[in-house]
Amino acid sequence: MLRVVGAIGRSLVIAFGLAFLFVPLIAVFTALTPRQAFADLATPVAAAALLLSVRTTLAAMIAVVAVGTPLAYWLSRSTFPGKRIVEAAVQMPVVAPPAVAGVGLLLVFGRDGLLGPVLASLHVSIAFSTTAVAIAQAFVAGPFYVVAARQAFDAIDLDLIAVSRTLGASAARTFWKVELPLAAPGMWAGVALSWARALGEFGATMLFAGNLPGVTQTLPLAIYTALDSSLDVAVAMAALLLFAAFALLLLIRLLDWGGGRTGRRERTLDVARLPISQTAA
Amino acid sequence: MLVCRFRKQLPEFSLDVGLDVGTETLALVGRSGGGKSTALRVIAGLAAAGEGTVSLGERTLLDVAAGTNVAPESRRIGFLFQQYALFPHLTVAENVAFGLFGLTRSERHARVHRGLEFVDLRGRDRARPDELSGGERQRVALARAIVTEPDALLLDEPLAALDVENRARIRAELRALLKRLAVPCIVVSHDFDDARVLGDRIAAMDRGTIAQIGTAADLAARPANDFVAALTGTNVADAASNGSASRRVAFDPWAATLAVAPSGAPYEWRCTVVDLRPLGSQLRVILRGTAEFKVDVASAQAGQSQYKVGDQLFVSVPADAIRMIEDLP
Repeated sequence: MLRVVGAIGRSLVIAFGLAFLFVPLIAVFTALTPRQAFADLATPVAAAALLLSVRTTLAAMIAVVAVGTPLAYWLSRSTFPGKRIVEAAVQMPVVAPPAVAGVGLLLVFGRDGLLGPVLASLHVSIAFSTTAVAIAQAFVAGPFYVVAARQAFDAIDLDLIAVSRTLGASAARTFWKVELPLAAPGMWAGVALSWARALGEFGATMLFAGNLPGVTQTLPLAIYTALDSSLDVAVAMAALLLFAAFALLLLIRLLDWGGGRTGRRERTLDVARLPISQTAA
Repeated sequence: MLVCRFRKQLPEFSLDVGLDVGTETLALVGRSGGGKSTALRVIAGLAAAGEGTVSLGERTLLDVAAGTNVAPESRRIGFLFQQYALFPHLTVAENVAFGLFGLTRSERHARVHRGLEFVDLRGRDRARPDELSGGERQRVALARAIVTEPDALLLDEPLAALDVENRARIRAELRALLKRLAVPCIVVSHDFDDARVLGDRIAAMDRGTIAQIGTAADLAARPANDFVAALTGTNVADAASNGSASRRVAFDPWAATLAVAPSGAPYEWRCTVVDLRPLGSQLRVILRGTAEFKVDVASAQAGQSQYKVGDQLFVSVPADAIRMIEDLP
């Protein structure tokens, strides 16, 4: 009898938990018909926000991959005293509250910040510009990519690198012909994850770049602004963002499945799991 | 001629290698963790050495004192890894072609074809490494190493990753392939039987030091020390007979006989049976006395459990089957 009550109780808790996680997201999709959603998205403000989000996240991702890949490779291959501290530092932006990130970026790139005098002498103003949006996104999303790419490089069997060298390939040729192709699925999963985080960036952007339509107002900021005037437009944009996030999640899972064929399934699963739980923060 | 003289400090002991390998296969044999694989890595340039030299033909590949250390990609030494290290993202043909850059497409194609033919793997060129059997993987790895025409070939435990039932056949095939290759080869193995089949000569390595180099017959007949004796399956014991000074002697497991009572023979040891291992028509009796002994008796003689663990027996060996061990290190 007691056992039955326990089982029912447990089932109720689990059902409540699942509902809590899913119902708000499903509500975003069911609140509007697709036709109505498209109509709402056709407004100039929504279109501008969408375009800005695409442009800034694209720029942020290019910067993240260009800088993050060598960084991830270095973390994977080198050993030095204090490496754990560097590893923790790389992951700091993941756990730091976005508002803190915004303040920190202002302290560095702002008019009165550390780089303020240098930027002023070059007649460059970063804070509250479109560039600031991309910087904020790269800052908060970068670590997701670096962690994923690093794990992808870690997962490569070192014998493969050694055998490539004995076959006459230099270290550089080995990187392009062996390490990069083998790490690619994990790196792409990292890009997808990082991109999802960049698309949703709100707090750091708000503080560091502001909320100027057409200049710094990305989709999440536009949703926030639209809530004051039109709930429908806000919901339509929310649905769009959610759809993009879902597509990226699907991509990660597909890459994960592809990675399993090259014998690196466990590693890529880790990549996909760790940051998803943390994106919610 | 591959000439290696080097020393490297390992956590538990020092690796001290002196090997001259002509156009032959040298089997480097010893227990796991004895430094054999590390020695191969130093020769290939994949690990550093503390001091010493490695030269191949006219070329000096490593001279620590002179600061010479040729990169692995320039040494022209092929390396076969224990797990074969096939590139999982490439097909068989692409794996074999990996080291063939800077050649015309047709030359590349011809060499890949010849390589696969050499290891008898025609028609498998489009397969992925995960679709191959252990033996096929080994042959792809071998083809990949030899199409670049290396001046020497190093093989790290080439048989360890294979199933037991295929091992003997692949071992014989590998021996034939190495013979046809006609470059200096070093094969690392922990198994004396594999070393005996693959190697023209055998170097027995114990904790970083080479205890003895010779043919398999040399090592079995005149083991330089207990380590080599244990490796070759030869018995080694102290013979303190006739009141003279104790001598180390060696004898084969099949040369000894077992008896319940002492016979008074000059070479006799009192022992306790610790294990019985059936080997086909033979029974190998493992005994412990002043040393561990292995004695083979015919199964018929063993009969219905003629011996059992715990029996007190005398191991006696005729004097003409006894070999003196001269120089103990």
